Amino acid sequence: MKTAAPTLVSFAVTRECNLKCKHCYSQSVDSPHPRELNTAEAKRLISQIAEAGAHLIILDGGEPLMRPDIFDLVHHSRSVGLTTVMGTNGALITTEVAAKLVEAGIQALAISLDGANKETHDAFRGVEGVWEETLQGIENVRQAGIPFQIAPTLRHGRWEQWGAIADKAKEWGATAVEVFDYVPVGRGEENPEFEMTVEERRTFVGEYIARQRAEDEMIYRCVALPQFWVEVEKTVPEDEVLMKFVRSCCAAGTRYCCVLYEGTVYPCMVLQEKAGDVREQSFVDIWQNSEAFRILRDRDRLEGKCGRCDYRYVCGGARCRVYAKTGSLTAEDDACWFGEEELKR
Amino acid sequence: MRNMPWDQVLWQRLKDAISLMPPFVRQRALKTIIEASEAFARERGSEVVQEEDLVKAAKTKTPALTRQRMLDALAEMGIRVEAAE
Repeated sequence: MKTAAPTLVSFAVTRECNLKCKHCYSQSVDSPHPRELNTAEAKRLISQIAEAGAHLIILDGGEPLMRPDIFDLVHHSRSVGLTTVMGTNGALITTEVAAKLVEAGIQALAISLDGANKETHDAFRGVEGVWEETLQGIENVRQAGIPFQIAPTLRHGRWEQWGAIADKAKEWGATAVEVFDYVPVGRGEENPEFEMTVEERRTFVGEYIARQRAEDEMIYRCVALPQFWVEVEKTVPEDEVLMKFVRSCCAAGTRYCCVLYEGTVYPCMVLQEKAGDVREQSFVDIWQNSEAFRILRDRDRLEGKCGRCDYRYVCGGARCRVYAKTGSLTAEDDACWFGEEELKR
Repeated sequence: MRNMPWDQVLWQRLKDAISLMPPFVRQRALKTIIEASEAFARERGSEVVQEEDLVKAAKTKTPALTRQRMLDALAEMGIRVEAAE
């Protein structure tokens, strides 16, 4: 059977970052990786991602704006027909940088905001004063007319702030909020205490659905929390689901994958099973033939509760969390809160 | 939204596929694809929309910009996009 094209691919263009976030999946530090893809290699990769049929590329990192050739990469990405967006911490976006991003052709930004106030954000991001810089960055993005979304990380003890963050996002004119459930990978492995409990996740999802139902302008999406969609189907009338709700997860290896700064390809930024290396194989070859991707694409291989679940094609469990805990791509997601009867659609 | 019966599994699969699309793309795509599928079903004298009607609609009536994305999403949900050529 023909392999479907990826809908989106994220390319962590550099390991270098100006922050020291406690959850960083890419183990970012204050210098580039010694084997970082150079400009020509990065452009070749971007071209191959377009050849694979991808619609959208997310340039992230590290902090992508630390990379000197980033505007050139954005321009190249647009020239090969990719919808080009960037994941950034926002702190380096001056008015000049915002103007250069517009000139290069950036189409949207996702800006991380990990708290509703300075104390929470700065503590998690590891640098004092970054809250003000990020807010100024958001204002500069807004002034430049670049569409943006706000991306908070949900974590134990602080997840309740998401509502206040969403209020701010709306006030600033963001198009969407995309929350990331904390997954203990990369530097996050050192901080497992940030992982939410199952009950916290379930409560969050209920609140999140209620928020989307009450709003028409903003879109609310989830990463690493695929049970969101099951809850949506079970609790929201069909017409409303069809018109307002967006399913995005789990797409690892099926519609999405991630390429790191030194060329390693993973099914997802937080599911770090090596699928290939773009210095050894073309991206197209990896996307079509990687064993890890083949396993993830076959939801009938899922085990235990996930294997018995009628929602396995639209949820499939948080493969990232399962892999982080068990090393298996197919084991059941023991953080799923649905009872055996609820697995029937 | 629908004006005639659909095969239940098919309708679920279309919903699953369309849920991946951003709402502003989806609303137009959904309206177009439902109307076209139902027209194709009527054309062949069927009272129920079946897979072949949906695939034909997706291939011929989805706007060019989102056609491949729609076909990929339908295929991911188990709809035999290739078989209905």
